[in-house]
Amino acid sequence: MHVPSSAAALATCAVAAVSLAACGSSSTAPKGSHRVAVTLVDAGCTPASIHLPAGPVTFDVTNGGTSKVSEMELKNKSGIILGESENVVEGIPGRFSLNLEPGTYILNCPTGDKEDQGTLVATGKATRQPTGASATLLSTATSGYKAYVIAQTAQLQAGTRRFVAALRAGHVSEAKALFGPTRLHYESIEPVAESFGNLDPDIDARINDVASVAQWTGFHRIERTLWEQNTTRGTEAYATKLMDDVNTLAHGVQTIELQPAQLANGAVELMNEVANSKITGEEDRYSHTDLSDFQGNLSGSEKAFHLLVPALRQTGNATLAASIAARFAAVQRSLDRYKRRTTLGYAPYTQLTLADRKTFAVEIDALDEPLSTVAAKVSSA
Amino acid sequence: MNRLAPLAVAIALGMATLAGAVAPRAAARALPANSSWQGALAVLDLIPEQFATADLTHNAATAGRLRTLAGIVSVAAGDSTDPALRAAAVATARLRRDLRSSQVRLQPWPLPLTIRADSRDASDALRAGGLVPDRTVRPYDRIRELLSAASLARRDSAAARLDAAGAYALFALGPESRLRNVNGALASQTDASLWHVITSAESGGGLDHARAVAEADLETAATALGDATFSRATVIADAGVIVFREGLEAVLILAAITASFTGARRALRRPVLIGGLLGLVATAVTYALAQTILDALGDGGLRLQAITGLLAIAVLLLVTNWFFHRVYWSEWIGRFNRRRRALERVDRLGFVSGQVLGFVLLGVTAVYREGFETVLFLQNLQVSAGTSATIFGVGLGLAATAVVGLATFALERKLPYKRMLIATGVLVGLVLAIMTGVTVQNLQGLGWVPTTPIGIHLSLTWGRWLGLYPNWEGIGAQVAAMLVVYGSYAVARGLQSRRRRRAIARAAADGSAPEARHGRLVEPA
Repeated sequence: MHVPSSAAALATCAVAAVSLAACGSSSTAPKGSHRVAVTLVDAGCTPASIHLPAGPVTFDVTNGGTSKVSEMELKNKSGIILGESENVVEGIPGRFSLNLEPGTYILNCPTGDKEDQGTLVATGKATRQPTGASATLLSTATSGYKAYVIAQTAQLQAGTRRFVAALRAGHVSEAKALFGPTRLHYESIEPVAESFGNLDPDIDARINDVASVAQWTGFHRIERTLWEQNTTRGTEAYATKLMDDVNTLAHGVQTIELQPAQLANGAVELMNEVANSKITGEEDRYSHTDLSDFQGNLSGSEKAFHLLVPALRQTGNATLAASIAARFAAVQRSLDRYKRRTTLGYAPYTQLTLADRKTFAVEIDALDEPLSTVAAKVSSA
Repeated sequence: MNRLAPLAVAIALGMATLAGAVAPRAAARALPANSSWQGALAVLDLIPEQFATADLTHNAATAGRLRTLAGIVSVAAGDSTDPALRAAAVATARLRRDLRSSQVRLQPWPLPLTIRADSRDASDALRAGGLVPDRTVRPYDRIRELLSAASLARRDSAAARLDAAGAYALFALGPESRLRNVNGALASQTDASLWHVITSAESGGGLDHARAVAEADLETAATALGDATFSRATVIADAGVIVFREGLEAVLILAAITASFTGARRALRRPVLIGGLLGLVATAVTYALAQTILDALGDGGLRLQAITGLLAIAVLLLVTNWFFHRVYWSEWIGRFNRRRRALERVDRLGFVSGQVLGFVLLGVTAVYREGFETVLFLQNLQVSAGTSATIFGVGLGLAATAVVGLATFALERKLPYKRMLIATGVLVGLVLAIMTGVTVQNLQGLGWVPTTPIGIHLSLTWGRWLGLYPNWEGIGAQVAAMLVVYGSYAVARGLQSRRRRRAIARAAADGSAPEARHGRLVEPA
């Protein structure tokens, strides 16, 4: 995981007074969409006050030369992230699309001068929702994805319970063996967890993501102790907190409401996770279980996409859907080459050659490009 | 000694206090112990900052530069026998080693926390050697100093590269991020040209050319950011001229009011004096208020400079208009004298407290009007060029005003006021031309005014000294400003002559003399 990454609020966008026609990265803005340019500066987001008509809007986010701020979020009044663009650094802009209902929203560029620096006011009439056959298909997709999220979270909960028990019992080898397989379930639904405030950083922050080690909790905090010190001593408090956080997540996903575009957005974000931290080996830098996490991201992304395929076909995007499916299959084939008959199920990251990593990077870029157009297609369904 | 002498001294002291109130901002800067190592401190601040950003996307190009910068500091420090630099060399060697894994994009990179700690250790070593960080948001002078040092140290590659690296880091840490919001292409261009100085220092070839290009880009960047719209000398001269001019007017008005307070009526000078002091206090409050408002606006950059520049131009037009249209001046003085005579009548009616209050208000009005204009004008210089140059100019203007005040009130000398007003009026006209050129340049930087090049090359020095930039809009505005001032003067003169001829004609018809003092500059007794 990557803390400032993908807080794309898969879960609760819809709870807001926002209908998300396109929530997250999208290289193509919906038809008739307004465009808003937001620049990241040391202070946060600029402009900090935006007024625009309700309806589809695409945010073009660029870095204005700050090394302090690299992310922009749009939240509803309850503080739930509706859309975001992250890892926006010099020369690498970000973009996401939303379908805004009339109302007031919060602009936040984390690590700026203060939290929730700005406001966005959408005025006018409520936007149109999908109708007809595509609406039914999209509804089926969201309910299917919710069931998937609940199932994965249940497995995460069960795995974490065993993992924490091993830690408390001082069984280093068992805890190490459970680490990767437990995390796989979290990695498959990570964008959902990101919508629940600090749950994601508390559960899955990498050491890269924290300002000081004292603030660091979760799986990777325990990972370092297990692999670097080969002990479970000192992990007790982290284990307890991890279990509490996972239980909170499992409780929260029972009531989440999802919108179709959030599925597409989440699929993209999961692949961004692979590109940014799995291929570089920084996700699990102590245990080298990155390929297992990679599989979790890939499975979660593919699941969200496949649930949207019927609606894409219905709206005349069958070619796009077929192209994306083929690219998912290509990445999966490459990853399958590293499957092993071990508890983890995959080779350690250290066995990847530089050529292997480059191959993965190319394949993921090839997948990401068409996948990032799905949110916009879904919004106009 | 005239009782009004303390007024002049108090005005000078009061305004000096006002100047002192803002002076600490300028004085807070520490002096460098050694420019090269000041630059190294900047490099060591830059590395962790940029690495944290590069790490987000594993930006290999940025990481490559950071490795180079770390290497430069490490080698330069390693060459020294100074214990602090030796300690810094050890820390920077560790930094280089830790950064090495960023050579391959698709592998784990060092932790940002590690790079920050390594850089901090090296910085701490330098600071333990007595170096004090000297960072400002407008570090242009320091950058130029380092570029010059790099050029001079060409035979010592390590030293030259260290100086060039320091210049690069100071720009990257300071103006570059602001410039990216204003002109991203120029920010990249300046970044690249400063980096080219580093590579040229390494190879030894083309260093002077690289430095010249970098300095030109830096100058353009500073101008685009509104950081270098005026030279320091111009700011000092402008502030001095305006303060002296307005101070002179205040002195003349007070002298005109109190001229008839002789003999038994000398006591009436006291409330005017007190009023003058209150006017000074009101000016100080206005200055503080203006500063508070500007501080609240934050680093408004070019936009703020453009707006305060337009305000300053309005003030200058007012000042020059009052100067040239002598009738306004006479009427203004006449208004004060009418008010004075009315207050004297109040005394005869026995309302002493009412009279005192009236004279106090008269003193307040006389000084505050000039003070208010000065405050408005100075905001632009303050925003554009910082505090120190502005305060220095204000100090010079106040000193000149104090001399005139002392001569007028304490020594009771009659000075050539009219000539002084003419001389300062001409200087104010020149300030107006400079201010107009610079403000148009700022408006062009914001994209609010188009830019049509004249087709000749003018060094930026012309712009910083005289507000002269080679485009039609800027020079046209300067000419227009002069035409407004001198044209309206000519029109006013014409109207005045016509009025006088009519008055003479009417007087001849009535058999009475024309109003002798009408339209003439009233000088104090």
